[in-house]
Amino acid sequence: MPIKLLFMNFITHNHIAEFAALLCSSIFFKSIQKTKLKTLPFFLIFILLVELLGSYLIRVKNLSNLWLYNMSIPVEYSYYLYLLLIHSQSQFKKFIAFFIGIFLLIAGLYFIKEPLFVFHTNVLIVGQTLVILSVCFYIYELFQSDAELPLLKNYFFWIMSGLFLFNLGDIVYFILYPTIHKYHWDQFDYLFISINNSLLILLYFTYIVSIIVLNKYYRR
Amino acid sequence: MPETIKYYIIGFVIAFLVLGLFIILLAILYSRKQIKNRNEKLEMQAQFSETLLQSQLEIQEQTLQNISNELHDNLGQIASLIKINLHTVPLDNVEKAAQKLADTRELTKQLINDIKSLSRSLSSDRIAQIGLSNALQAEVERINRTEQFIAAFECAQNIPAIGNDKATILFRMAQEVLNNMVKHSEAKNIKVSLASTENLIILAVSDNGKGFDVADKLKHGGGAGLRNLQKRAALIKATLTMESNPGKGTFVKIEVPCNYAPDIQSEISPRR
Repeated sequence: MPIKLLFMNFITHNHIAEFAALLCSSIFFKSIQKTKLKTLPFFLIFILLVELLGSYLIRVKNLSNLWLYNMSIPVEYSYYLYLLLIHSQSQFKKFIAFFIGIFLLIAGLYFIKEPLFVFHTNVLIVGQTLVILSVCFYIYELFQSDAELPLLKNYFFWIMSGLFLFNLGDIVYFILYPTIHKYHWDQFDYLFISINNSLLILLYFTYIVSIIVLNKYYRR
Repeated sequence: MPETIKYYIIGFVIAFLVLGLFIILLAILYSRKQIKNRNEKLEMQAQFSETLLQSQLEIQEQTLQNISNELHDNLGQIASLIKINLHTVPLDNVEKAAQKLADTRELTKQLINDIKSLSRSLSSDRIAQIGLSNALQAEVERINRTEQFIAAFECAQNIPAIGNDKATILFRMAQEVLNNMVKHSEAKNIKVSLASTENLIILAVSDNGKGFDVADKLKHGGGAGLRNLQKRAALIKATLTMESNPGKGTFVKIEVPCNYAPDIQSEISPRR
């Protein structure tokens, strides 16, 4: 497939943003390995592969990709919660660990009970809500802590901000998603795509900034 | 209906994002303020430690100066007297010799006591060992030994402890005030008092000397000692009050809070 066609068909801005984040994490891989973000490059590979496959299925093969997202979303949101867990102080660790358990349980139940080719919206909403709550805990801890570095030099603050804004923006659409599809207001899909894409680019931008900050201030 | 839903979605997304941004901005601003406050506190602590060290050095220097004076003016004299006595013992007159030896024994006893007292004052951590009131008492006695002043010390009972570091700085401030009075006041009487209220320790030093114009001294760039006192008072969160007028003596009052954090500025209020 010619490159131009490839881009027109299934490579989107999101993929470029994800690839940029992955590239950045590969360049600064050594620095990342000295922090709690050790697993981030592997997670980014996973996300990029899922997104590329999802895009390929729907845009090139014209097949449903909902099964793929039904499987990847629990992994994705568990990972976000795991990141918040390992960066959190003891005060809220147990809550976040509990959230991970609850989330995986709900995802598992949906996986068993609901058809795989119907989007598990509620799993995503629960994941997003738990991430937002965990970020709120993390922010509360920031207010309590006696941090030595300014927040803008704290690598996890950037990822946390990205996750916070992405999920706050995205959750509105997904809460309304059942209504929109019930009444076949499919013209709103473009709205979802534009909101989701902008927030995804913002999310991966914060990943890149976080890795750069990490490389600058956490190398030793 | 769908158009309305569209605006609802956009409105909610924007509202949520604005809320998120607001929270993030708040966290950033709070963190900046917190770091600024901590740096200021660290700076203040460093300044406190520096002043404490300087005060200790000055107290040591002053102690050495006092010892030098003591050796020259007192111990040296007594030792010379003992030597003369021993040289002039009338060996042919047993009674007179016994009297002379008895005098010499008294002088030797005095010499030993003075040496003991001197060795106690040599301790580098004297304030911690003997306490603020005893150190002030010793300072007053030293002034009295010069026989140029009549110095008195009054100390109330149950003065609360304020910690060695703070006591060292306070003692050094008192020493500085007393030194200035000895050097410049031309006073006859000097009075030192240590009292306390529920939350304060009040150290007051006064003389009946020639006095000076405090505001004028500060205005015309003099009063380095005064500024030094002011700086030290600030570090222990003390209030320094100085009242003086030409011909009317000088009164200095230092009020130190008993429980303090060394990070709040004090004030100097020259009153006339």
